[in-house]
Amino acid sequence: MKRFLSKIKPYSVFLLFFIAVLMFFPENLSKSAESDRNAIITTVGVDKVDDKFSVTFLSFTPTASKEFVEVYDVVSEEADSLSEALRKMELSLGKVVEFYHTENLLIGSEAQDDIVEILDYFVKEKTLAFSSVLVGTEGSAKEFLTKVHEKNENPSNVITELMIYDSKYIYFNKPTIEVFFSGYYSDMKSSFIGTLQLNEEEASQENQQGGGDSESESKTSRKIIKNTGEIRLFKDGQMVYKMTPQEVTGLNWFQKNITEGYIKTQQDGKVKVYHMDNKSINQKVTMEDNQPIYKLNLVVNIDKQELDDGKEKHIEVNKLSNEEKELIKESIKSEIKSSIDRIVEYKVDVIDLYDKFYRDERRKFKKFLDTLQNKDDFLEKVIFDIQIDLLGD
Amino acid sequence: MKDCITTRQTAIIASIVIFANKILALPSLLFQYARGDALLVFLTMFCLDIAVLFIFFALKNRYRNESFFEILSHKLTKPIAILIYIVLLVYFFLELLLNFNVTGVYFKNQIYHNDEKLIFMVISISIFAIVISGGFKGLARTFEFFYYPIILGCLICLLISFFNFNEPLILFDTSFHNYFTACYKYLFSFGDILILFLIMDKIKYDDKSKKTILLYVLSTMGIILFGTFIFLSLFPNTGFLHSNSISDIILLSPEIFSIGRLDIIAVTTVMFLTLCQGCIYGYMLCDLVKKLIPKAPLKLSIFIVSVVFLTLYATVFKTIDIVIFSATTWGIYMALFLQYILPIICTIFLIGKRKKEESS
Repeated sequence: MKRFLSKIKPYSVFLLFFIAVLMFFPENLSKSAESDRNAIITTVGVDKVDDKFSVTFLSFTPTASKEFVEVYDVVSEEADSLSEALRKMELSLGKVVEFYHTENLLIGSEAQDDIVEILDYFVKEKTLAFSSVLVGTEGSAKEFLTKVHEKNENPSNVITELMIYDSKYIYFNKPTIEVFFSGYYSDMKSSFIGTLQLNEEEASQENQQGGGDSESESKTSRKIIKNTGEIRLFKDGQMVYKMTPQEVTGLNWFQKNITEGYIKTQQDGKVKVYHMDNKSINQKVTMEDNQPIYKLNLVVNIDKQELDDGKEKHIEVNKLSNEEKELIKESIKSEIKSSIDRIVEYKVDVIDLYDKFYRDERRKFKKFLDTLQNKDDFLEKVIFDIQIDLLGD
Repeated sequence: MKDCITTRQTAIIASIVIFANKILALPSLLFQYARGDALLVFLTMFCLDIAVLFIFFALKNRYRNESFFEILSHKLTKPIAILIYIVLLVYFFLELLLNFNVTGVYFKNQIYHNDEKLIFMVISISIFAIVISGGFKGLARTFEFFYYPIILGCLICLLISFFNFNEPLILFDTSFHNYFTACYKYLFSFGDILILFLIMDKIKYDDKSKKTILLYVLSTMGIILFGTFIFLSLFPNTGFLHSNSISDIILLSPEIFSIGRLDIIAVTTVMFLTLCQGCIYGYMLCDLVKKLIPKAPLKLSIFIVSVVFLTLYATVFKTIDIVIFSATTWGIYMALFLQYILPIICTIFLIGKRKKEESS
């Protein structure tokens, strides 16, 4: 025995490793595959029906196949609380529900007043990623998910792509859970969510045609949902206003990263559309005589004009008439004004003006805030000084 | 000088212990008290650590071949030295428990999901036992191997998160009381230079050593400060929700979903760091046991440390909340004494010795 022990002593590390493998190997071999034990949820939808929570999952089931086919299921359960609904869901799926692969969280219109409670539960209790895309639906999230699932092979990706595309070109910020919470926990308690709508026309057309020419064609149709560019504004976790796409575009003028867009002018009933291919902004906040002043200097580059027949022509700004230039500037100003009017009216500072003043003019701004009964009223007192220049003018 | 490590290896050890507990939960915990000023808390505590590092240099210059235990025994009598070493033993157990609980929760969220944390502990302790049994030199060489992947991992995480960077954080926003409370409450997570005192007799020290150690320590502090700056800038209002700072700063962008889970870089980095930190704290504990029971061989002290650690973990310090509570209540007094008062006592020894030399 002594001789045996002295022989194996130099290999003690490998032996320990071998014993560890022996301990865990049989247990793991006897276990079923992780995908059989855990549900892979790619999208979660939450609704509120008669004071009850309805949770809908878009669940992905990995299947062994020679062809690349992704199998998704829509499952829904209703209960008095979210945890009960999830428990019911686990019982009906026969799997543990986890959110490690969840890309989107859909909130139905009725559940939007409880959005903070819902997000709190999913993020803190169920470790849903903060980078998950937060989407509001016009009607019920369950109906939305069911229809999207019917018409798309990979519904989660379609939802994410529609929202992320918009976060770069339409929204003034990314529509994620993190951004929502960041607004909610800020001093102004202002946040927003982007929305997606079911394209009812497309759905009814598809139904009339009997589901399309072939199964694959109807499954790849993305037209079933659309992003109108509308957003919902929240103050202290409560929805206060649905912002129209035009008003959202007005807020985009404050953002550096959104550099493309269209400017529409109208004179004597004649509509002209100009394409903006670049823009630069210079923002400055000052406090003058206990008055917050926000200065925005916009330099806009216009490269194309859309003609009546739908074609485009390249234009040089210096060849535009003074009247046309003024019309373009007026159009931008009126877009900005209508957006500002809304955020002032509903006291929803989604463009972080409060932070800008606090960062740049802290002492004077604090003094100014002391003069207000409610610091939420500060937006009303801000003077917006907006200067617009056209590049090449 | 049989089991001595080089200056570079010493610097790497200092650098690795400085990372301990600072890139996961600490920025989030400090945020709850100091918001953006958590960065200033880091800065202040690092300044104190650098001051302690200079005390270490001076002490090492004076006592080239003596161990810290010998210095304490000589200056404060042996019973007091033993008492201090018992406090050190408790301190390092709590340090190891804190480190393992924070990373244990992180790994549970990222990798294990449903598996028991105790299994993770048993496996990790086995690995540490093997690495530590190779001796201090072997340990230092292992750290040399892992050090650059750790630094690279941290830098990649910072680089990725830098693209999400929008507005710089707001500083000097909290009251002095909140700032001071944050410094005091999380004192236990700083003062890592203490380890150098305990291994001072195992270091090859020459004139260039000071420069090398200082360079590594300052670089590490720079990386941590930059990471904290990015964390606080990215989460100016929601920092308290993000308890895994190095992972959360790279997972902020929704585009991550289209290119897969990039947090594998953060997970690998934290895994390497945990391995190295666990080995250092484990070795320190074994060394302390050896000092208190001089006749005990290294393997016996490894066994004692492993059993005590697992027993503590499975009985008293079951959850991360208990460990954080201990570190932020009675742990503070221990940290205050060992990390700062003890180096001040050492400074008094040095002044006394200089005066003696001058008078003679």
